[in-house]
Parts: sequence; structure tokens; C-alpha cells
Amino acid sequence: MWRSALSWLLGIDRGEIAEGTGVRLKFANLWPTWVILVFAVAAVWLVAWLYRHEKGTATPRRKIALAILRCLLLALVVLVLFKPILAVEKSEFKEAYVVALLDDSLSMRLRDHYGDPTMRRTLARLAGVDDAQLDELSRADLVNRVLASPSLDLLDRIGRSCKLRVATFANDVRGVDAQAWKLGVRPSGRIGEERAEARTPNALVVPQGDRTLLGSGLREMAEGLRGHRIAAAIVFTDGRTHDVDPTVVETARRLAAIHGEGFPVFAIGVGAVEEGKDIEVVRILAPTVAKKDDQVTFSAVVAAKGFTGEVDVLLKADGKLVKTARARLEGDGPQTVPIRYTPETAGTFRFTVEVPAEPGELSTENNAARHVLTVKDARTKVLFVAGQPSYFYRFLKNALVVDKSILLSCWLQTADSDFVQEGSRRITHYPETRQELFDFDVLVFSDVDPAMFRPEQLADLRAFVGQFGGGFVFVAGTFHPPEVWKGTPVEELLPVALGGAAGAGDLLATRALKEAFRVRLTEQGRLHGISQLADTPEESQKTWESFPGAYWYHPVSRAKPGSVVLAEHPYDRDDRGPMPLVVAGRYDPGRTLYCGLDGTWRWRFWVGDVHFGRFWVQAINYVGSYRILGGSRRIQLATDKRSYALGERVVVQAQCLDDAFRPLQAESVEAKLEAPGAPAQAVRLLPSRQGQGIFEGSFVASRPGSTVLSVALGPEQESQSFDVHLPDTEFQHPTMDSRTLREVAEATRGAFLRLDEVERLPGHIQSVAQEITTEVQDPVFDAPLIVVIFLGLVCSEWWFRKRGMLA
Amino acid sequence: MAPLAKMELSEKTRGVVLSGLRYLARTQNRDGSWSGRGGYSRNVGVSALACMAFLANGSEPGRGEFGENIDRGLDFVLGNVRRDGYITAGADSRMYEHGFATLFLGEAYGMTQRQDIGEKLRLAILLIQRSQKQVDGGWRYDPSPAAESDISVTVCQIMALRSARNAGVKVPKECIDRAIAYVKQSCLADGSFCYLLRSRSRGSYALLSAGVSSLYGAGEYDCPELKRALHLFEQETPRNISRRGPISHYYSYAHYYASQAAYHAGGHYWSNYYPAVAKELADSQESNGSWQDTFGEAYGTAMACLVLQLPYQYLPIFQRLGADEATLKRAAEPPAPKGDEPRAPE
Repeated sequence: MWRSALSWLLGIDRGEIAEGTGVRLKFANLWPTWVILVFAVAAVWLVAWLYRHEKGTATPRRKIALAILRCLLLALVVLVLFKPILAVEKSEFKEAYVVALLDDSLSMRLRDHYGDPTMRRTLARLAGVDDAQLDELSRADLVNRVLASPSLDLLDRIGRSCKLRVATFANDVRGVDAQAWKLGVRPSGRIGEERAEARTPNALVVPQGDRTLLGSGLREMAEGLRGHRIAAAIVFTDGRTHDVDPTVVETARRLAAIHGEGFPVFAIGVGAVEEGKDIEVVRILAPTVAKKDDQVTFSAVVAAKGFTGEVDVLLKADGKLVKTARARLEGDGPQTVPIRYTPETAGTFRFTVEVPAEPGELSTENNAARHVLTVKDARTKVLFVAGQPSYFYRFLKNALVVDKSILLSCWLQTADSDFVQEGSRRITHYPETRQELFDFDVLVFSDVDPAMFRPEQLADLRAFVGQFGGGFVFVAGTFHPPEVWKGTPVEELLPVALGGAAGAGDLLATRALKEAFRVRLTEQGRLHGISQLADTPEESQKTWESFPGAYWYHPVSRAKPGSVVLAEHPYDRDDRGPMPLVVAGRYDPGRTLYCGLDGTWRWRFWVGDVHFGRFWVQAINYVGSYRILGGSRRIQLATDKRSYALGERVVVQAQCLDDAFRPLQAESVEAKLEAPGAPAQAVRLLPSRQGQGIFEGSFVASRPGSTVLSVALGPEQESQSFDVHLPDTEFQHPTMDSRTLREVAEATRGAFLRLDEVERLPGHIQSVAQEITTEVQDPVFDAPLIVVIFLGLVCSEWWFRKRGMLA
Repeated sequence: MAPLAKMELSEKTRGVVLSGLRYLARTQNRDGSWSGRGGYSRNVGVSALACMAFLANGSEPGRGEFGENIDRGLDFVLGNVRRDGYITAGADSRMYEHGFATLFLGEAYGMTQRQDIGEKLRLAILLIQRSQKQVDGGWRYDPSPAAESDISVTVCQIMALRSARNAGVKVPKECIDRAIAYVKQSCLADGSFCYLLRSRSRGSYALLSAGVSSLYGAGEYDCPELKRALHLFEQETPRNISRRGPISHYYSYAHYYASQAAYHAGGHYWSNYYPAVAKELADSQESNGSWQDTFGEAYGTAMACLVLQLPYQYLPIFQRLGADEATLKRAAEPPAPKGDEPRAPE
């Protein structure tokens, strides 16, 4: 009632004088103080002088009253001349936006160990779990639980006093349904249930972004609300941002500097702060395809931070423990832990290398890495052709014939005509036809006499490698030096150019035949699969260095472009460099290997076939890998990479042949995609512009882990596996970056709080709300109140004057 | 056949071997032969064994420290191959020498550019086939097929046949089968091997060793004769390590086969045998690098070097196949198409 009256008297809108608003009187035309004082003194003196000399019957007391009334009247007039304005201060927080930005980058999948007991207790209480369960919650789980906590009622409390916007950010900003956070996680749920639930669309934070762009997020959010007042931004994040130019702090500073649009950022840090210990299985280096009963080495790259000690490294196949290795981790650098395992059944298996979590690890999310291995029940069919019964022939045939991965057929050219050739799959003649030749996967030529071959057989040999994808190993010898193959298809197949700096004949008479030289691995050779003779490259290198020397080698001109020199002569060289001794090459689609030594059997010294056999079995399986492991003869399937970051696009190409081995004519080919923890999906591959039965397609790698892609054409099926890994950038620094968050908060005059301090957030928001006011100015010189006072004073004076008998 | 136990090669043993080989190299005659006592001078058998000792060290014809010695030894042996294939260099040279010389040619074949080695090896093998005794399938001192055999010479011929077979020389399956049958018949109830089938008298440690190694060489890994013989071999070995033991007269010959027997048997047979014999040989080596022997220093030195270098794994004839590997290999082999290849695994 009184407010209505006051509003009428002041001539202003009633709503402007709400409860809690501040009202101030201001003057638009206020005179200088000295003028006011001079005027006041002069006016008072003049009024006093006039009433003193006023004639009439009025008593002095009445005259004084009249003088006061006159002074007041003059004062009112002067007040009106000052142009009085009523200033009403009004809070605008209700109309402003508070934006809650929630980090949903992949690092929010990390689970932390919180060492501080007070912090643990607080977080557990806020999340509604037992202290012991806290370590099982990811950062995202914690945020979801804290925001959904009914006792904290955080977002509701903020939302009641302002306009609340909730959005997630990682690679970009995505708004969240205003009610979604109420429907998301039930804090009362069990941990396991909650984690499953957290993956539902209703969960506020579902980690998926491979980068954390907080600066971009703040900028994007500010631009989205341009024209509106942003009161504050609340950011729930671990602070591991990837904004580079500008950095998140620079962005925050720039936003804060925009006049009238700046807003404070309240950074809520999620995750453990201290640099504690962490063990990470970075990746697994292993073949993607192997043969049944072949030993496979899984080289697990394990990095330990702040931890030194022995750990078990577990190898699991489809979740079942198959092998355990013990490793000592020390230092902060990655180290390789080899685990050797021989698969005994064929099929496709998802292998996991896992290091059980150590107590107090910062993150256990990175303690495992995955790898898909396809095990094929196939033996490499090898045709070993030798021109002489050299020791190389005798020892290698025995090494190969007992190897479970190889099916050997020997053809010794100098054997008696009625000699039963040796091998585990004996032959009675060298392959006469292409069909007979193509029944093998690898051909090994050792000091072979070319006179045995007809031109069409040599043409078939070229097709065997160049079209069929067979492997070809050429071992030089002294009876039939490689130059005898010049001008033949064999010369084309070789990964080296013949016609070296020195002829074989020269060397036969040199010191090299008396003084042994030790083969030297090249840098590429040290890492190549063929030359790995131990569990680690370092041990393998030591093994190579322990080998007895060789007495003879055949010089070549050079390694052909695209081939890889695995081993070279320690001191014989020409102007191109050291003389290549072992060279791996390609004659697409087949692979080839040249060995300029005939004395590798000397590596048997004291250890037998341990190294000699392993080297040659690896070499044969390598050159034969296209045939042995390529699987289908009608389908070639390839992805553009072997490893992808989550969210990256996978490009697939399949070359398909029909029943008659002609390029397939079809509108599309369907590939099957099997990702871990997801139902199989179909990927449609469309004909490529290149034709030739090539079909292409792409899809986004959406689930981490080893993924299998397969294409089937009738009974023929071809599979290709690749790894989808979590982006390294999100996991390089598993701790919360409190420093950056603190700087962002300081740059915007906001505040940094850890998640366990989030209960203080409403207080901060309240202080922001108090600061956001506007002032409404209303001129009141024409207000009814002025008129009423003026009339009141005039009438009073008139009445007094009448009573005092004044004129 | 058990796996070989891991064993370190001592520098001392390597030095002992090298010293022995250098003695042989120094004492080789210009014609490639070695001088010796009595009938063992310029003996093709001794020359063959000495050259095999060089091969076992990793030298090859024309290559390595002893390459030229091997070449000269080859010259000598090949120069003494008669037209009928018999390799002999004197009246006292017998099938023993022929067996060792043929074995050497088999091991050198494919490692030298000499064109005549294949041809002469085949002649020598044909002579062995022709001289196989009709009555029992073995061999004796002379190349005549008549009369009975003895196990010592027989094992020598089996080794030569195996080596040639490894080099692609046709050896009839029947020839090998009859020889192995003879060896098995020679095995007595206690595991020993009799020298002559007719007498059935208990043989020596040397014959026991020869019998065991020949059964292994023939791929007879599971036969009862081998089991019996190995049992006895284990018992007999400790007292036969010393040069002053019961077999002092045939010490080198005995351990040439004993080392192969222990090596093929593997496991504790080898780990008990090799260090003991290596020590004994090191202790008994002369200051000039040689070893004394009834049949001359060249023979004794060649044999000692062969024994000590067995684990060098450089001679194909000594190659050892594991029991499971051998089983696998046999299982993978289809029946022989012509039914005439030997049963030897290499």
C-alpha cells in the first residue's frame, strides 16, 4: 500500500521499487556548493530582513515561522531547479546466464587415486559412495554423481536464481538438455550399474572427445550468448587442455577484458592433483596374423612413472590368462616386455596385455592394451632348390623339415636321378606347370644351376612372385654365381642389382677366404622381423655379434630401390657404401630376399639350429607371408593404417575377384565390422573409380580396442584387424592441471575449486549475483510530491499571513 | 633322445682343439697325407679323419685356417680312389680306411669346386654296396662280399652310406636295412654288441659305443636294442673315460663313437660324458698339440679333435635330431614312392 502511494507521489513505476532494491536521490543540475551556500545565506538574510521590516500585527514568533516557510519554499524551488532524479538500483542476476561447462574428453575416463584422507572422505560423501569405492569411479562418474547429488542440489540451486545453461565440451561445445542432469545418474545406484548407466544418453558426462579445448569452449559459449548477460561460467574439468594458440589462459584474459561482457570463470578441478605413480601399457607390438603352433612374441611397451619394482605382465586371450611374464620396471621411460606365446588353435583372438594395478596408482585405465591376432592353421609350403649338397642345404633342410610351420619339399639338382628327394612333402620332379609351382608358397634357391629351367618355367617363377604373391629367397653360391641369372626373370625378382664392384672370382682368391668377417646388421636390419633372434632387439643384436664370421660372400652392384638392406659387410664397400649381404625386397605382391652368404650355417656353432634355424624360418615365413597369411585368393582387404585414434576415420579398400578370378562387378560389397563390446556392423564398400574390382568405403573408429574388419565372397573370407587407441594426448599427463585452472580463474576474477570443495560454489555464485545491478533514473521535479509540498508550503504561508494580519 | 643340456664351451677346450688342429696342419705331408706308425703312414683313413677334424672346426675346402689342408687331404684321398671305387693307399689299408675316406668325401661333397668328388664318392659307395656281406648284411676288413662281418667295420660303412645319402647319392634302402638288421642282431641281452655274430662274445666299450651311434644314425630311437645298449653305456662310460682304462688300446676309436652315442642320447648321457672326456683329453695332450695313440699321433690327434668338436655342430654327419622332431619328421613323410630310400633321418 505504502509502496503504491510512494510510487504515485514520486511519479515512478511501482515495479521499480521492489524489495531489496536500493533507492537514491540524485540531481541532474546540482549547483556548486559555494553557489548554494551564497544563495542560501543571501536568501535567508533577505527573507529575514523582509520579515523584520514587515509591518503588521504579527508577533515575532509568527514572523519567524513565516520566514521559515518562505525559506522552505525557496529551497523547494531551488531543488526543482537542481532537476532531482530518483535512482533505483535493480539486480539483473535473474536475467543473466550462468553456464556450466562439463569436460567430456576421454581423459575424464581416468580413475584417480586420492591420497589425502580428508579429500577422499569429502569426495565419497559428495558422490554418495563408500570411501573404498571411490577409486572405482572415473572422473566423469564423479562429476555425474556430484551434480546429481540431491543433498548438494548444486545446479538446481544455481538455476533458481538465474538462467542456467549446461553444456559439455571437449573438441567442441554441445548443449545439454536442461533437464538431462536430473535424469542422468542415480547416486544411490551400485557402482557397476552406474557405470553402465553412465553410458546412456541421459548421463551428463560421457567421455568421448579426443581433445580438451576449454579455451575454444569458453569463446564459443560467449559467442553463442552474445547480446545476453553472462554472469559466470562454471567449468568442471581435469584441466588437461589442448588449446595452443591462443592458450586457454590467454582466451580467458581476452574474454575478461571485453567491456561489459567479461564474466568470471569458476574452475572446478576434477582428478588427483599430485604426481603419483602410474603404470601404463602403452601399446603392444606383435604380428596381426600368425600361424598355429608358431611362437608369437608380444612386445608390450610398458611405461612406469614414479614406480620402480617388479610386476606381473599378463597376456590374456579373449579374457583368459594364457601367459604371465615378470618384468622389472624402473625409471620413467617406456620399456619393452616380451611375452612369448604359441597359439595352439586357429581363429581370431583379442589379446590383452595387462599389468595389475599397483596400490595407489593415479590411473588404472591405462594398465592394459589390446591387440587382435588372427591365427591361421596353415603351414608354409616351401620348395627348396639347391644346386649342390652344400652344408647350407644339408643343415637348412633338416632345420626346415622339423619345423612345425613349414611343409618342405627339396629338390637337389645334383642328386642321383633315382634319388628320393627329401622333405616332409616329397616331390619327384621340379614343378613342370604353373599349377604345380603355385601349389607352393615360397621358393628357396641356393646356388641353383639355371640350365635346369626352360624359359616358360622361369616365366612361371616370375608370375609366382609377381602375380601370385609367392615368396622368393635367393642364396648366392660359388658354383653358379648370381650373374648366371642375368637377363632372366630371376634377375628381375632379386632385390639387388647384379654385377658388383668385384667379381666373385676375385674374391675367391683374396684374404676373405681365410679371414672370417662378421656380418653387420644395418639399423633397419636390427628392427626387422627377419633378423630378430632374441626377445628384444638389444639381445638380438648381441646374438648377431656373437656369430662366427663367414669366409665368403657374393658382391652385388647395389640394393634395388625400395628394398631394405638388413645386413652388410663390415668393411668391404664401394662408392655407394658397405656391400649389402642380406636384402629384403618386394616384387609386388610377392616378397623376396637375397642372401649373399653361403655360410650362414656357421651360426650353428655350439647352439645348433637355435639361431640359424630361427633366422631362416623367419625369413621364409616373411617372404611367404602374402601367400600364407593373406588368406583368401579372391579378396585383398586393406585399411589405410594399422592403428587409429578413437574418432579417426578408417579408409577401407577391398580388391575382389569373381569365381573366375576376374575383377568383381558389383554395385557394392559389404564388409563386417566387429569392434569390442559392440554388435557387428555392416560397412558398405562402393566401387572405386580405379575399377579392377576395387571397392572402397570409410567409417569412424568409434570404440577403442582391436577391431576386425572382414569381407566375404561366398566361401572366401578375408579379415583385417586394426587397433583403435585412445588419443595419447588425453593420457600423457593423467593428473589434474590445477595450475592452468587457477590461472584461468584468476584471469577472469573467478575462483578455482577442487571437486571436493564444490560446496563453496553457491557462495561464489551468490557474490557474483550481488554485483550484477542496474540503476533506473526517474526525474521527480514534476512529481506529485513536489507539487503537494509546494502547495502545502504556499497555503501554509498564506494562512499564517492571514492570521498575522500581514499583507 | 633327450635335449642337450646347456653347457658352456671353455676357452681351454677351444685352445686344446686349436692346438691339436695346428699340429695336424703342421705335420701334413705335401701330398695331403700324414705319416704314422707302421701301416698307418700315408693312410687314407687317417687323412680322412684329420681332414674331418678340420671340417668340424668350421674350415671348408679352400676356406678358413685349414682350408688348404683340407684341399690337400682331398687331393690325397681322391687320388687314391681306385677305378672300382675302393679307396686305399697301401696294402694295409682296409675297409676301415675305405669307410672313413668315403665318409670324408661325403662330408666334403658340395663344399668344393672339384668336379671329380661326386663321381668318386659314388664309386666308393657302390663298392660299399657291392662288398656288403651276403650272409649277414655287414662288412669286414676286405671288400669281398663273402665271409662274415664284424660290427666295427660295419658301423664305419653305415656312417659313410649316411653321409653320401645326405649328399644326394642314391643308396638302396635294402642295403641300409640289412646293415641295421645286422647291428641289431649283434646286440646281446645285456646291451653289449658282439664283435662277430658267430661267437656272440661280449664286445668292448668301443663296440658298444659304435653300436649305439649307428642305431641313432639309422633313426632307431625307440628300439629295445638301443634301450639295452644305452643302459649299459651309462654304466660303462665312467670307467672308460680314462686313457688308462680297459680300452686303452682303442681309446681314440672308442671315444670317436662314444662321443657320438652320448651326444645323440643327450640329457645326462652327454652332460656326464663331455666334460669328463674333455678334461681327460686336455690332460693327456702332448705339448706339441698332439695325442699319442697306438695308431700314431695323427690318428690320435684327429680323433681327439673330432670328439672335442662334436658340439661345435659343424659336421652334417654328426647332426643331432631331437626325438620328437624325428618322430614328427617320420610322421610327415609319406611312404617312399619307390621303396628304396634308407631309413636314415638325414
